[in-house]
This record gives sequence, structure tokens and C-alpha cells, in this order.
Amino acid sequence: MPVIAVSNPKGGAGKSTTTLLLATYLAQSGASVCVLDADPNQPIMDWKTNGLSTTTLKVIGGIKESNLMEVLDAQNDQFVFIDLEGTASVLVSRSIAMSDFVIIPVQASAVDVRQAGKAIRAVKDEEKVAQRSNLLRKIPYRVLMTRTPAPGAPVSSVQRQLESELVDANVPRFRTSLAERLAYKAIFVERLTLAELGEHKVGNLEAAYQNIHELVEELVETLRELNRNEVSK
Amino acid sequence: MSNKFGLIDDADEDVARPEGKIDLSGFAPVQKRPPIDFAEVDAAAAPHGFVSREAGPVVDEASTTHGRRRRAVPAEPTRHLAVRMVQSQYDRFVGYADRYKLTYHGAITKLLDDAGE
Repeated sequence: MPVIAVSNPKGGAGKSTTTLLLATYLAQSGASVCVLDADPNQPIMDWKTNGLSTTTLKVIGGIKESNLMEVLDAQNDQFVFIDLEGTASVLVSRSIAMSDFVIIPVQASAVDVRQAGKAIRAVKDEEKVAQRSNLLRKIPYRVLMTRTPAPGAPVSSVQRQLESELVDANVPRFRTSLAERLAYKAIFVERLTLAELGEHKVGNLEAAYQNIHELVEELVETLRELNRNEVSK
Repeated sequence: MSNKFGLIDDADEDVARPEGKIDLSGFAPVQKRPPIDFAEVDAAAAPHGFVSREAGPVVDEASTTHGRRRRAVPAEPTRHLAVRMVQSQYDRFVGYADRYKLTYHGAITKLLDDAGE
């Protein structure tokens, strides 16, 4: 049902990591999932084509401004993720305009947050454009804190400040954060899913798994709720 | 156990792998999107710095501009007009001028004439 764009014009915010973790976990849970790799570096396409993962996740690379709509129209999976480039581009804004939900990954840094603000403003403006032809059209979004300290580890004052600003600004965010985990780097090194990393001792794999499980649960619940709200209108 | 990347980090407590399944019922396949006016979408995003980062097709200047008229010296005073526009509009406009072998101001004149302005 949902097309989910993962966007922050700041590079290195954790877009591809978030996309791959969510998409592979959903695929492993039995969903049909497709990732459109719209990052010119094609990190997820590389992961899929050069790796040995047996995941059912489908990855389509080479997404451009000109073929985005065509490729998206050809998909019939339950979940379609669009992994976007870390820059402000027409491809990014068009992807946002065509999405049902936008995830904005943000690290606890001033640069990340300012760039995320740019993405949020773009989402709101694209929503206004879409509402010219469909008054009920919404492009909901959530900020996702990434590379946060593992549970129990000290939280930086910058992160606390950022979290409080997000609350003050009424910016919707995921309750679950994506913690800084070695396993999340290892999935790109080994080109395997988190579940397939069993053989490779990479940090606390179980904690990484738990983190993703909680994030996917929250994502699914959020999408369900948004859908309920839309249907009730 | 492989540790070829030296990524061992067991600083935090072990947590049991979650057994709970994610309930995915009710998520139907993605539906075809309603058509979207990309010119409007691009125009809304441009003020936030969302511009085209894709290289346009390589244009053979010699063949495309062949036959385009050289600018005639105008008989009246001239004014300067600089227009910033989204890439798709730019491509349409330049394509139009090329197709009719017009200068840009000639193309504007033709568009105005055709519109009865």
C-alpha cells in the first residue's frame, strides 16, 4: 500500500541504512517489498547485485527524474521504499510528491537538523501542490533520530537539545531511534541482511535486531493509523 | 566466528532476539499513482533549493542551432529580462525555439502572437 520516501538533503544521515534495514526486515516478515534506489551512488543496488543475500527484497536501480513515475507505476508490492540522494534535487522533491509517507533520518548534529528542516518544508509545500488537485491529499512524515547511543549509554547534550526542539516545533518523530550499531555498518560490508549476519560476530547483533523490530513495528502501526485516519475522512 | 573486519563490540548488554511477528495484514499492493503535474511540483520545491542535478542530454549545438536566425538589430530601445525557471520549463522553451529556429526573444514574440496578446 504505501510508497515511502526516505529523505534528508544532508548526506550521511542514515538514509540508505534506514531503508535497507526496514525493507529487509519487512521482507523477512513476509511482506513483498521493493526498494527504488534513487541515490546516484546506488548503495542498495550494489548491496543486492554484488551480495549473496537470499532476501526476497526487490531492488530497482537507475531511478531518474524522467523514469520515476513510470517505474513507480509498474510496482505492485506491499511496500515500496525510495532511497533518495543526500542532496536537494528535483528527483527528491518529485519522489516526495509521489509518496504516501516520508521518513526523514536525522543525526544529532546542527547541519543534519537544518537540512532536515529543508526536507520538512519541501514536504509541506509538495503537500500544498498535491492538494490543489485533491483536497484530502496528505504527505505525512516522521523524523527518525539515527546513530543515537545504544540504550543505557549516555545521551549527548546536543541530542537532548535537538529532541526538545523537535517537541517545541511540533515536528512528528518516531519514538524509536536507530542506534549506532556496528551491525548496521556490517550489512553493507557483508552485503547480507541483519538476520543473515549470524555467522559474523558484529557487535551486539541481538540488540540491533531488537532495535529494528521495534522500529518496523512503529512504522507499521503509524502507517495503519494514517490509513485509518484517511479512510475515516 | 568471523571477525575479519574487527567489528566486535559487546559493550552493551545482550538482548534476546524478538520472537514477535509483525502484523502485516491489511497492506495491499501499491496502487497506481494519480497523475502529477511535475512542473508545479518542481516549482514548489525550487525555492528550497531542490533543483535538477541531472545532466541534460548532450546537444550538438551545430545541428540544433543550424538555421536559427541571427538576431536582427532592433529598431527600438531594448530592455533586459532575466528569467529563472525550473529545468522542465527551460527545456520546453528552448526546445520550442529550436523547433521553430527562433531566437529566444523571437520565440517569446511568437508565443505572445499565437496567444493573441
